[in-house]
Amino acid sequence: MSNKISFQDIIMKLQNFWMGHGCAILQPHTLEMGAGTFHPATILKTLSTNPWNVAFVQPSIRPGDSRYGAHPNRMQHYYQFQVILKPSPENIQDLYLDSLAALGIDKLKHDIRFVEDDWESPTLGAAGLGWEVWCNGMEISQFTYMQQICGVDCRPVAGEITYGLERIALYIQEIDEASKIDWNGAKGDKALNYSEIDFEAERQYSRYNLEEANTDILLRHFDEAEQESISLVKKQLPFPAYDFCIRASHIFNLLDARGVISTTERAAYIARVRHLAKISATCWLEMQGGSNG
Amino acid sequence: MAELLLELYTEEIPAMMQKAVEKGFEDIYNKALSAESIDYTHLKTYIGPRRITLHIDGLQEELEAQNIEIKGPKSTAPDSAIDGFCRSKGIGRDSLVIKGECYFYEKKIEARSLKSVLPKIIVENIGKYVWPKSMYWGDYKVKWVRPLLNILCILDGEILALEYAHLKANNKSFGHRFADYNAFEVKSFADYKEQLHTKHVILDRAERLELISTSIKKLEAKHNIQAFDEPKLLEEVAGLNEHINVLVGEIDKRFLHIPPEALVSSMKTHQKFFPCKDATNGFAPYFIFVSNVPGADNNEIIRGNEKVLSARLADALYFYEQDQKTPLKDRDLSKIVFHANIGTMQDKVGRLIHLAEYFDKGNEDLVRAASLCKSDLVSEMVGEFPELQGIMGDYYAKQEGENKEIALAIRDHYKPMGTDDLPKGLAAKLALIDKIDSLVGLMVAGERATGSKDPFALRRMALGIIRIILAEKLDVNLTAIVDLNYTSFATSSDIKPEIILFIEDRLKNYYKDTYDTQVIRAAIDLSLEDNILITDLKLRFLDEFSKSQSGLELIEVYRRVTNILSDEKFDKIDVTLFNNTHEKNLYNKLLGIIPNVKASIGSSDFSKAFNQILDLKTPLTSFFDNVMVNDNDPIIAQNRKAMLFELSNLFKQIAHFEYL
Repeated sequence: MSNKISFQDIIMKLQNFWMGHGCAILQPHTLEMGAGTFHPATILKTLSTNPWNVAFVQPSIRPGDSRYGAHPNRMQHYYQFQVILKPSPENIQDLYLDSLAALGIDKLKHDIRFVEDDWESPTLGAAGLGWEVWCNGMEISQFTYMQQICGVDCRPVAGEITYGLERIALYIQEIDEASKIDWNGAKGDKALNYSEIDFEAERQYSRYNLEEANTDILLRHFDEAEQESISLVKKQLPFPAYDFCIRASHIFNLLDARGVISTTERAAYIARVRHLAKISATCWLEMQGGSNG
Repeated sequence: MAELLLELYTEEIPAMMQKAVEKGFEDIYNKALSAESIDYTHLKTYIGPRRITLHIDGLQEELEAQNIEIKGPKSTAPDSAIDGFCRSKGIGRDSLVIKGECYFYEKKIEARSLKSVLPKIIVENIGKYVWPKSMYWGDYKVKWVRPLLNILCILDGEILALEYAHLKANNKSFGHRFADYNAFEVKSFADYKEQLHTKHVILDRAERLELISTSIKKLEAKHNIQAFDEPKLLEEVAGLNEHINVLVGEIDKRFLHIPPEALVSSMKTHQKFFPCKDATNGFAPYFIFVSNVPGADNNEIIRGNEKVLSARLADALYFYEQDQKTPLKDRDLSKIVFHANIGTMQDKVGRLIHLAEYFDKGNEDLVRAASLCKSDLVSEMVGEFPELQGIMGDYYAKQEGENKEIALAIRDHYKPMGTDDLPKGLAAKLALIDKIDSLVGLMVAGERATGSKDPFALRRMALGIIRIILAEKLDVNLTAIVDLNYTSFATSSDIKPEIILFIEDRLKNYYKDTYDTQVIRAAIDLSLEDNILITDLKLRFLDEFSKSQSGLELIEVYRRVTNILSDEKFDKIDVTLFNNTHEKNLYNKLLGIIPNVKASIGSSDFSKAFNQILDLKTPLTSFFDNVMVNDNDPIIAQNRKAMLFELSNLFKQIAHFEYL
């Protein structure tokens, strides 16, 4: 590809593109989460019946993917670009393809494919139907029509587009390792690549996630986050309550990465987080005057 | 004669759902048209990723008036039934006539034009097709497999006005999503197909399949390779592409010493590539794939796909090389939980070794295989490709110098997974004890199969146990091996009988299509007979026996005997109390045959055992004809019953004859 745009430019171009199509550009949520879907702007805001069109970058953290910065494209910390369009517009696929064009990916030169991939998050009690989008065989995005969130049916339905920013950068910049991603496009001593920005933390967090995290403290924190979430729902504070659900989910991911959760316990932990998501969402719906049923 | 063309234009329909749509839609519309007595000469459905097309030709344009007689309930039926019938037809009782025993509704249908009835028929039936999964989108009320974007519907070139959900039918269709996306007007089916063709869309799935196959053949000849025969993958790629552009990519040779199963896994499942063999049947450094893009720079697409595959295989190669640094026997299974309530995989392997020693004394290969069979679960390769469990163990075992049988046992001990891939030899033995341990362990851990829920696949495990024993003719005392395994688990409640009953239930289920229910109930009782091979012989025997003349006679004898005996307890037979020749005769005869019958049962020759019992028929008949069992003297009566009880015990040792 001739036009090798930088990582930050990919983000800028996506923001500009979606801004031009009526999306408000939000900022990342302030908690650790495994995917942009956890952002309250996705989970809580798509539950209400109001139109909602937003886009944002969400740093995503998956302790289980810790590889000490040694894996070509798997990191415990990476970036997703999320677009939520509610209700999903008729031309949503065309908009998505145009956004690829804005990144210089020409749909006539590349084999772009919508391959069935239904999405489900057991921790959020959420599910949707859609595709993963392939570009010459590489998965670059996830495209989902949200059907259910926190166990509640979504009406109207939101379309969720998630771009894997590193994957797209690897593709556009024609490189093989995320560490080499050109971050700012600058030359000389101002040039910065992905590893210079993120990889020291990546190495340290990998060690923390897999070796050092104090599991006794984490187990306690999980219980505390759960208690707090439940108590906040009773006080009609669904947003803070949902934040504690996000915390519980991340702590669970950490415990899982530390290998202290057995297969059966796993299901029980997931059910506990799902319960928090459900009561927060239900509380939020009730406060808005009625459930979606 | 009219021609109808209907196109439901959608976002990408999942590839593997497409094939069933062809027949599904045809059935629905054939039925709908015949219900309205509309004639036509041709009806066919086409399916692709972006559209479902229905083409009906030779439609009768003027529909004649007709009377249809619809049969209702009997004239003697309760009011509610008659009212119900009227309601369902939207008529009053005064529209009914009685003919013979039944009410009839004589429906008069006026003459109509095709054009006036078709829209309703089309609209009412679009939603009748049941998708495996469907969804809502936007703010619409309709559910469909993926968002429905447009409906084209023309009758003889004219738009047939109809509305489905939020869409109004028009005469427009669309070409290939990327190459020629503009809407175009359609005049007829022939025109439609032709225009789609020039706009890079191949309408007919069969045609796409054919084109893929012939293109693959050309590439095979060119590169002297042969693509793996993958019918499912073929179906999938035919459902992913509207245009067919078959390309070949190269694999860097350094990846070729990764085990082929891992290569295939990466290529087929993740990338939808066809793996290829070379002229000597080895793994060829090529892959074949289908691109949806017409007339593009194929090189860039090929290069892109090669790159993606390389990245995947580089991962696999790294994992494979890492794995070879730690031998199977040194792998730590204590971190992998088998089930929280019963411990880790290491514990499981310990139990398997114990079972192996008991089950096949002196078989060192079995013990060795048992000790290594789970080790690959902590390999990087299985972590990345879970479907390679067992397979990677096989490779690593061979590399470490284990013999072929052991390696194969490690590979195959997860079988049977499907219907006809039973493990053999050493693998069968290992598979059997592994399944017994899993079944017993998981039930001890509190897992159960209930109704449609069986998250741990306990039923499949039990069925696996049964099929392996029968196929390999393994002479196993199943209850004893379950007993032994059971003692390895610390548990307070005794659920052993429940486990045996669970297997028994699966055994009954296994035979349900082969034998009558009564025969199955009579023959299968694992607490009575713990060897499934013998149970199998019993079933075969009882099946014939219960249909034969002598069998029926013996069943009658058994019934007479047990009718007299209630649930009482009986003392020992006292010979001195016998006071006539009939009972003495019977007793002597009985005494004479008991050891023979037992010997026959011991050697599982049930038909011999029954022929021996059959010898009692004459003395027994004269006994019943001449002797009153319920003598006035209760002691004598008890003694006679004790003898009959002894006789009934012979039957009970074989089966539950009361069910026959």
